[in-house]
Amino acid sequence: MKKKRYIFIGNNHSRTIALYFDVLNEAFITKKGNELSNLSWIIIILVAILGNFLRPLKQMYFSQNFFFLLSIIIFVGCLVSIGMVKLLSKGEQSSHIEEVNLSPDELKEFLVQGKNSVNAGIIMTILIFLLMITFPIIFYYDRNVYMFLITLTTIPLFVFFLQTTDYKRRRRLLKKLEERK
Amino acid sequence: MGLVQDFSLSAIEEYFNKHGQSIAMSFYNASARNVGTEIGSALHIGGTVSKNLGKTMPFIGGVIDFAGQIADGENVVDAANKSVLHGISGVIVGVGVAAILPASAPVVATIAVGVLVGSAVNAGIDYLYDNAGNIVDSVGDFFGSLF
Repeated sequence: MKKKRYIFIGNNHSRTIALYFDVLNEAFITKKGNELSNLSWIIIILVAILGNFLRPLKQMYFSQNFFFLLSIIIFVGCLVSIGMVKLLSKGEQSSHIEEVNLSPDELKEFLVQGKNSVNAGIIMTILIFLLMITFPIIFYYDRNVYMFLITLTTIPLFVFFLQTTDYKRRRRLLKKLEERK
Repeated sequence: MGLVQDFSLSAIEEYFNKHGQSIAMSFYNASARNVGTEIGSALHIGGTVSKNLGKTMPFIGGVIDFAGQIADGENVVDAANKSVLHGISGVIVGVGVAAILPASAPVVATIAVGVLVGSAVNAGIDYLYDNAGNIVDSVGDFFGSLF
């Protein structure tokens, strides 16, 4: 697998700039951000709408063997995950970057946000992992199409958060930058 | 019963004698500001509505969720409880996703990830809410069978 060139450090406080570390040139680079002030409310509304659309699927049941369905979930989930990882690395290369010099105070702000981001990433990854393990058990008892889709979704989501949190590398980089500061 | 009724009616009468004028004045002031005959009043109302739309957004989501559950034949109390739980989980997921993802990530991707995580978490919440009793019983049976 190709080694990642840019490691995400963190966003600034107002979430308008994302700071990365270029491993190849050992330099800081920034990418312009998209401010999303009402993300929670948008998610609540869209989840409610999606839930209303998908509700009829709760009444549709599979008659196939559970293990056959589970193998389909795992197979499709892994395929989607592979595609997503490729898309993520492509997105990293294509976005507009800008090399910057940061003052110690500015760097400190990014480091604090970065630490919070890593911690939140770990919590989210653990939550999705728990759901990924629990949902097949629920699906075993309640074999409807809705549960099938939700169980399938958890696999790419887990891979996505694992990839985005990038715990090992980011933790090491944050420590190194803090020492250097 | 009659005594209580008489007392409360006379107390209300007394209250309105004392404060009636100030209540009427405040109603008049509020209506004159908001529902006058001039176009300015209509613009004022429009401006207030659009200004407060952001504040009502969480309620819109909750109402859609609640109405969907009721239409699906859910009990009113359960639907209300689940809608509140979904709202809380939505806020937590939104804050979490915004904290984890780089600000440079595409808006559509950020929202899509949030919606998928939110849907998965809500499915888990619904299952726990509907089967909490059964889960406790089966866990109890399992541990009971061990000893």
